[in-house]
Amino acid sequence: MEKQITFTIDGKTIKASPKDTILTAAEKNGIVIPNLCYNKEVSCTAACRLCIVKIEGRPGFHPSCAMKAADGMKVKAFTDEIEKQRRIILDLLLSAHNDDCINCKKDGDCELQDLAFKYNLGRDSRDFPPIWEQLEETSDSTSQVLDYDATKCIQCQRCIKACQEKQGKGILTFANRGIKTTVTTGYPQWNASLCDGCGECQQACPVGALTMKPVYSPNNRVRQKDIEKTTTTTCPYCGVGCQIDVSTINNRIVKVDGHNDIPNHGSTCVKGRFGLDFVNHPERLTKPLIRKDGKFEEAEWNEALKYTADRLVKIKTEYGSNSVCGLSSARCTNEDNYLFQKFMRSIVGTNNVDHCARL
Amino acid sequence: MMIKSLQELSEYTEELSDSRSNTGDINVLVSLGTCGIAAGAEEVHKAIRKTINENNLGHRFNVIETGCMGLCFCEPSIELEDTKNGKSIIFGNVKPENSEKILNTDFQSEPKEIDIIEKGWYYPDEAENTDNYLQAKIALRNTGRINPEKIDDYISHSGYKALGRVIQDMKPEDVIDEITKSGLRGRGGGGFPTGKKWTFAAAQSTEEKFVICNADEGDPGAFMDRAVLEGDPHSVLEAMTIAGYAINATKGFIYIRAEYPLAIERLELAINQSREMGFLGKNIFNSNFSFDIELRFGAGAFVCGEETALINSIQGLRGMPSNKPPYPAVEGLWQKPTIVNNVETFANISTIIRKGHEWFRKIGTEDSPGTKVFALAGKIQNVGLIEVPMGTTLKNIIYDIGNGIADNKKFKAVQTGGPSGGCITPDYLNTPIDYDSLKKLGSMMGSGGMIVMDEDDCMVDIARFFLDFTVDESCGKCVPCRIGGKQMCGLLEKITKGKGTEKDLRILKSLSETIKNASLCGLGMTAPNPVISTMKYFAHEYEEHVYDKKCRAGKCQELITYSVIPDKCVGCTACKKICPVNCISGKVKEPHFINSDKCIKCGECYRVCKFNAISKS
Amino acid sequence: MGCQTCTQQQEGGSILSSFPDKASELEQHIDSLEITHNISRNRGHLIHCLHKAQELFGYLPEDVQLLIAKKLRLNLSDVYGVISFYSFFTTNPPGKYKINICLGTACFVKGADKILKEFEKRLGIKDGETTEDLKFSLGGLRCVGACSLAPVVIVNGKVYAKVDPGMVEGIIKDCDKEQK
Ligand SMILES: Cc1cc2nc3c(=O)[nH]c(=O)nc-3n(C[C@H](O)[C@H](O)[C@H](O)COP(=O)(O)O)c2cc1C
Ligand code: SF4
Ligand code: SF4
Ligand code: SF4
Ligand code: FES
Repeated sequence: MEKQITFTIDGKTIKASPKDTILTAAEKNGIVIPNLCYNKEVSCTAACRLCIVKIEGRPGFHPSCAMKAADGMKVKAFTDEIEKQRRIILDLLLSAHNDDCINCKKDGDCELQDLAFKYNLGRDSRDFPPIWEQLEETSDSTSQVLDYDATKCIQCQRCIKACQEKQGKGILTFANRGIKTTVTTGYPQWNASLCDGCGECQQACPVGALTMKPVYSPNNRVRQKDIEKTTTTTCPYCGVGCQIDVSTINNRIVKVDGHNDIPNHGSTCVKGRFGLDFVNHPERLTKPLIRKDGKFEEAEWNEALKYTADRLVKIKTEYGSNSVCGLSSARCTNEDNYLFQKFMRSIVGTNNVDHCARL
Repeated sequence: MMIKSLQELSEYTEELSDSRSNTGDINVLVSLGTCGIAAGAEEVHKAIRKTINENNLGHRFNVIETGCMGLCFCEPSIELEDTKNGKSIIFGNVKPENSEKILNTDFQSEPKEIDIIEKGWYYPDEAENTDNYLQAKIALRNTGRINPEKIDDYISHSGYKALGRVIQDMKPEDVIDEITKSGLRGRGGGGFPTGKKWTFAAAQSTEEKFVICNADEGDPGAFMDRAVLEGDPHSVLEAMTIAGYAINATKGFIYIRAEYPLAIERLELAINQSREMGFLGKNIFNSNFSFDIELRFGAGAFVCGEETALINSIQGLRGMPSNKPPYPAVEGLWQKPTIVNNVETFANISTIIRKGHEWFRKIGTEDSPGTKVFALAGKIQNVGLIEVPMGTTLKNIIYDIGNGIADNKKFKAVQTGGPSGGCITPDYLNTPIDYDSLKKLGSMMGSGGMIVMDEDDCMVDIARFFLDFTVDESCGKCVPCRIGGKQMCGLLEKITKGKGTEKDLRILKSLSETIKNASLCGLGMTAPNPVISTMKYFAHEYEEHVYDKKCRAGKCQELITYSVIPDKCVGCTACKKICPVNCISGKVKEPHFINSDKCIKCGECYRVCKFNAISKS
Repeated sequence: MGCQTCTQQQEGGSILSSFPDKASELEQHIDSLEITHNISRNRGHLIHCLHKAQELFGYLPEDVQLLIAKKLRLNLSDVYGVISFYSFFTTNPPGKYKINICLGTACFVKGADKILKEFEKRLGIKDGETTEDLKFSLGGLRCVGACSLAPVVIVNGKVYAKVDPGMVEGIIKDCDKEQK
């Protein structure tokens, strides 16, 4: 077994692995140190500085998301002094953030809003005047699936790192520096870039700066709290079998997120996230069709299955097994595909079996 | 030709001095640094050459084009040096037509119309300080004395001897030991012990390591590093190679501002010369040790002076700092152990090796041995580049070396450390300056900018100026610096406009603390220093702005009222004509009157009045 | 979606095709660098290449950025992110006369801010902008190291020392004269 280390946070004994940072060790022990730029899926940025703690014997404050926990460390995470700094940092963030929460898609699902609420930073309790309007930052909503609202961006780099480190694409970067920093693809417009719209970035965004376009319900904006039901399922698109969380209202899909589990660990591609609109499409086939006199006619499953089986048996006896070929779909699960080739080989008796896998 | 051993080096040095005896005994040193050139040194240089040629004086004089001697206040400057008896004389504010008189000098009498400048320094590696000079030049030992474009000049001033000794006679750990014992601390601002930094890097067992010279000098008001690079580039190359040998690196980079074209040109030249003679490249001094140096250019970002940002910049990334640890000495350029040292730090290395740590420790103070170069500027008589032993007092610097405040004004404060530093008041002028004493005063050594301010400077406005700078230069990575700096700047602006409140002062204080505590890199951590220190030492000025709506320096426009002094006004109407908002009334030859409600405080009337009849309060 | 690089280049009238000599000089220059299989090491040449390109073209329009990105095998975001970070680089064509006012500390305490304001007033542009006729661009600089001559104004490399607001008009006139 891996060696464990022991240290304390505000006097409480913490056991952790030597790989843990102070922040992750605290989290595992039920202590949540406030954070915004931290995202366990990507490398540490240490930019928001909300997670600062004090460590006995070391001068100054240290970001707990970047500091490895060490044996015997004595950490202070919630003294008045530290909390005061956090409050000021949040106050600063809010002054540069368009806090029109009423009109924000992320209302109720926003890490900044949660922290502002926790630290009681309503508009009247803030020290710093709003400056976000003066900054004249460039927003971009030219992507077919994403909206970037620079006035809400807190420059945490989670999107940039998600695109680079999780998707390996590196589409995003910061433009400018200092207070003028915004997220950009480098092209004048998002839709001119090589972004394929996987949406990884918006899933990483802790606030309402990068959000999905309402592709599933164009006329009806949806917030997290409007969602009635979220179902974890397997993406029907390809053989990878990504796990996705499908959110529905009134039995209609309104949103898809990557589910953090094997094999995709929260990621999806553009199809999985934005391509499930076929589910409720009026032209979607819901019944088998049989061509009769050159025209497709709806049939019941029993009839269709029987028809298929009869034809297969007939062709096989008349022309031999190898006159049949099977083509399976990448949208089926692994198990379905396995069964299909088994069926072709042992029942039909041919190796003529292939798979589209080119979606 | 290639130099392959110390033996060959000293033979070559002798050859050089032999060949020199064919030329004149008297060296004519013409300062051709950036500010010298801007002041017209090139014309003077031409005139001197011409005079020598026309009068066939080539056998007597040996003209040497040098870097900056540091006497910026009297550029163009020329030094004459008699190599036979060591006598020397410096002329300042030289004009081309002076050249004949200068060349006729007897090293004593003062020719009419030309300024003679007192030489206030000695060279500790060559002589004792018998004349009690205030300045001691170690880092600047060659700057202003040799032609930076000639490697032979450097070699004849003991150049590359230290490198030869290190490679032939010393083990890497001996080199580090020598530097550690010398107590040399980083001159780039932080004051971190150089030997310790090298020890960390040497202890890493990776195959590839790097040496970086930080020549990004972004502090507005500092030009020490530029002077060294323009005036003595080989000393930096030699020291970097020594560092490479000490930590077992094979590659060095000099990260230099693109705004220093002359320094870049001279470095490129020096690197090529050094390669040709075998001081850079493969098998230096016939050993197994190989080392080469390349230049990398900055592109206008102050934060890239911060070492992790600098490393990111060399890697072709946005110059945003990374959280430390890991420190560059462990994980730096391309994740390999890397030492980053300042130009001036490097400029000290070879002398320390040549003369030994005991010699070095005799200069300066116990905790900060050696000297420090400062760029003295602002409202001071003698603007220039100076090098003083650590522990010299500010008083010595400002009144003795700098010759006091310009225009008979009253001294108010001196700002050290640039945007990361603070202001020091007249009360502390007797403080001996070193890293720790300045820190105690709430300022910083910084890289060595020293700006003197007089009664006309408003301390709130100065704080706002520096904050403006940090807001502009903040990389934008972390929240306290990115937004906190901006808010702080806003608060200061509000105060200078006379709209500040008591609450603003309180917020300013707590915000400074947070930015200092919570920022990621040194830029943010030190950004509030100008505010903290002025709020501490000039609290009354803040209060005057806030409560009395007054700016005693008359700097903050919104707080000034312009009025006509009736006794002095002759009614010339000049002010009336120039006022852009027509708020001045009065008939010809009668006292005029300014309607202060309409006045926009542009100060035009004050500027045009020839009779000092407009008062500003 | 897609990259649309090709269509964009056609639209704007490429600076690369207007200056084929410069374009090929830039390409040759990049080709002469040591490009290895190690992408992160190649990236180390980026800033150097941008300097070279700006030296050639005066500024860094999008197709120049794309060329550099392609040659160094980087994304455009990598290139643009760097350009927009460093104040030395610009994506707009500069004016014929680059008027730079030193705003270093020494110049500031000697009134550089007033000189900047005077230029802004006379040229009708702000710090960092260029006049519409592409004649003047105005910029603040951080310490040019000529503190003894403070306040300093530099126009296309020519240094004006100890400037006061009254000299501004003359400096602008100097440029006009030179043009004739
Ligand atoms: C914002 C910032 C700017 C800096 N600028 C410079 C600089 O221009 N030159 C320099 O040598 N060091 C600069 N430093 C210090 C470097 O980070 C680093 O400490 C130094 O180069 C180490 O060299 P030294 O130990 O020889 O001083 C800067 C630091 C910060 C935080
Ligand atoms: S949608 Fe995907 S590819 Fe596009 S920027 Fe976001 S993470 Fe990158
Ligand atoms: S868009 Fe979102 S994730 Fe990206 S930097 Fe801004 S706040 Fe962070
Ligand atoms: S302190 Fe300022 S310059 Fe340093 S990382 Fe933070 S934002 Fe960037
Ligand atoms: S979570 Fe640690 S700095 Fe943002």
